[in-house]
Amino acid sequence: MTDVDAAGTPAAPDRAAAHARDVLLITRVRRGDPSAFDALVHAYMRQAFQLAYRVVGHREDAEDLVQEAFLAAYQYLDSFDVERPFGPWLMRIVLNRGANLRRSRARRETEPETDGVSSAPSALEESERTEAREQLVRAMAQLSERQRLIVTLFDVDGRTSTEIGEMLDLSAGTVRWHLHEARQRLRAALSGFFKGDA
Amino acid sequence: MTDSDFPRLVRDDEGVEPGHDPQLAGLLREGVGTVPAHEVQWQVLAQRIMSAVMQQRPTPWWSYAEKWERRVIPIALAAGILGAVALWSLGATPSSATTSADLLTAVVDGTPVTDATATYANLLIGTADPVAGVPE
Repeated sequence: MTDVDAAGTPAAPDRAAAHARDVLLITRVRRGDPSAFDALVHAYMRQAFQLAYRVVGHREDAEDLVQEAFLAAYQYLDSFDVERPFGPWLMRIVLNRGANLRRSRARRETEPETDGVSSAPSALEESERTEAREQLVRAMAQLSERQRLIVTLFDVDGRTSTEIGEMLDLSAGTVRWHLHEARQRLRAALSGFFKGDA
Repeated sequence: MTDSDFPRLVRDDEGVEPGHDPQLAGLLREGVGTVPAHEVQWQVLAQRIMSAVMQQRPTPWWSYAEKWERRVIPIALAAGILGAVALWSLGATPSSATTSADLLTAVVDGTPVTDATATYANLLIGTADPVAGVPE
């Protein structure tokens, strides 16, 4: 069994094994065995959901997006080059479909879910937190979609630059460059909220 | 902000992973939240996906047959074709050969060629009189 982390991404040493497993599964799907696709779904749905949630910002929309992406993957599986890894290909489908979904559902207000860091904040803390959040939203809006995703996936979700690069079809170096740019802009916009900053 | 803020953030060509920024990560987590993976019913989601996939699959005509029937159908088709060929071979060729031999025999025995040919032609089209052309 291939080791995966909480988001369903295989650890680096296991990527080759995951790729070999995926090639076998894809071959079986192409021969008409749907249970093999079920195995692919179980292997990648967590990672797909994480990215989908970061794109659409809503759990139910993210689940719909994951379903839509897997359906598209199944539909175009015959044209997929098995020499390439399946996961990044699927993630790119999530991104592309997610952009369409966001446009079509632009009217729905996204409600980011917080993880309840403090269960009973004081009024002052709550006020500061609200202010910080509003400023963050403004600062994030100044970033490109790509930079927003990269800084969130890296700093909040703990993805590596290599993993993000695979998801977004970028080199790890390009991811690090975007991360640096995004952090600079966010830090500049949020300088008042950083302890020790001027 | 200077590069010293991110001591482990290095140039692309060095290929070293940048360090995480806990302060920024804390603010980001406040703003965008964490991924609510614990709220997802993964098994239900997987079943939903597979159900949609199965609906999307093209339905071949043999899918209506039971599993054992799917094996029997091609065997039955092949047997049917072989049987038809065998029947055609057994029914047509020997009958023609016999009729040709009869024609030759009748001519040799003295039947006029025109009578024998007419009888042969009638046999071929199925309107033969069984006694026509036979010398009395």
